[in-house]
Amino acid sequence: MSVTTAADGLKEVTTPLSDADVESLKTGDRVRISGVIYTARDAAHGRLWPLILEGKSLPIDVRGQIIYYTGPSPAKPGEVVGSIGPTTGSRMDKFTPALIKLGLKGTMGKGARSQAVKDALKQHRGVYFGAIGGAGAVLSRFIKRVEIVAYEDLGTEAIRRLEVENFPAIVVNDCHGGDLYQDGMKAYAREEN
Amino acid sequence: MRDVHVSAIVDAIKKLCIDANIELEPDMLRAFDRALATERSPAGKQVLQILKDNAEMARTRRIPYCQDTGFVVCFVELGQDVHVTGGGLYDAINEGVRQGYTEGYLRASIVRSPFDRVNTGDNTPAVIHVDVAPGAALRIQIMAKGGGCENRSKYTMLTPAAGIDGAKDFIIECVSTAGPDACPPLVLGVGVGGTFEKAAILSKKALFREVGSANPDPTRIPATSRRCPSLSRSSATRTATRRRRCDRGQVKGTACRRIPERSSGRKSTKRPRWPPSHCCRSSVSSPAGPASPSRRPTSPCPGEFSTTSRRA
Repeated sequence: MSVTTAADGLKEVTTPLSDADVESLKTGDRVRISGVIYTARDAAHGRLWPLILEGKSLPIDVRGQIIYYTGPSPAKPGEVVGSIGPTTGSRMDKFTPALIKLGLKGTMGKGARSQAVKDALKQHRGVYFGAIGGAGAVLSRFIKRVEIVAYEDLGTEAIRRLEVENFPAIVVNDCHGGDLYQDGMKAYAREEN
Repeated sequence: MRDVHVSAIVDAIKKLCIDANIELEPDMLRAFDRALATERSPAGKQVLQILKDNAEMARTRRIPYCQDTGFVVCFVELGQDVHVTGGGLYDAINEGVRQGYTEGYLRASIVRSPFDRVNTGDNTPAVIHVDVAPGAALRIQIMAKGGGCENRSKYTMLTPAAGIDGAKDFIIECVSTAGPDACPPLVLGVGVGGTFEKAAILSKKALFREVGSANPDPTRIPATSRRCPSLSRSSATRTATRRRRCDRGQVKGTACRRIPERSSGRKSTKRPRWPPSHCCRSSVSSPAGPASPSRRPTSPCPGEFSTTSRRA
């Protein structure tokens, strides 16, 4: 587990993440993620939700981990995975604060998150990474191994354990209240006329 | 009367589904290049470059360039002198989708009901729109419409007093609220006029047009309104009144596709007509992901039928 800064200025993130790792990440940081991350999206979160509410153990230990919101396309024969870009993070807004409270350190998707999620990131030391929407073919190159670990019947929405190397992302929401999307809007908005 | 057997339709749809998800169209690639020349944000530039690389990788490795391989939206122009033989037209289209998504390693994303959310397993059914036209041509266009952008579609009812400025304001609002969720850079399809559902269909059809092109029937819009002041300063790629790419800082990419495939089919001279400007209903479909403008093959094509696909 670590976050280090490479010669090119990018931050190298190795999972799992500690509170200190999360605190060192700032909105706008470009990162390369290596190690194990998990996939889960709407349907998988829907199954985790009653377990969380009842205080039962989850099929994966989320402490220190990153969940990547994606449902990959099927792998062609001989390929590790198909196309694997991010889906919209706000789909999971309902579930994320509770997972962060349980010790999940990172989530990764595209698009803005709710205030409740941002508050949870501050309160429990978490980070939201943005991956490039629409670049699923390129992103598949950074996936070295894939294993379904829960809810196989959900098909593309099953929870998968990914081993990734240098997966590119950017810090959208840090644990200090930063929000890249809001900053970006301000920086590049044009006055009308 | 011309006979067209359903097997030809199945084969064509299957190929369109696969190609639409793997090969990004030249007009989108050109649009990336134009945007790279004007984008100010370093992150935005980087994303555009990655999207170009992504398109190249998808094409060479024959994998979809986005994992969301879309809802198949199918526009059919059926000549009234065409006789579909061997089965039903709708069944043939859905069979083509089934074969294309299964054999092409494309993701099945469609559920049978929004409430029980059971995946149909083969990305069927397609959304199919059929227009009957004079002649003996059968023309099919498909779009693989991604969810991230489809979910940001918007509709509004404007008053006559709102005029063209009201329409522009609404378009800008749509882009602004879609923000990063819809996989920018965004290409918009805009439909104005008719009824609620007519405007929505027009907005979808507009996505087949060449990116950045103007509506082919601009006569109903006053010349003075054909540029949108609030958008025209933003990017050189935005030239048409109703077709806008809005690239904001910090954001992402998209893709779309149209392939003129087997082109034949008697060319229809009918072009989609822009509704009268006094109509007070407008709809914007913001196909962020991939979106695009509607254009049919421009050369007359005598023959059986033609197909077009578009990734959105």
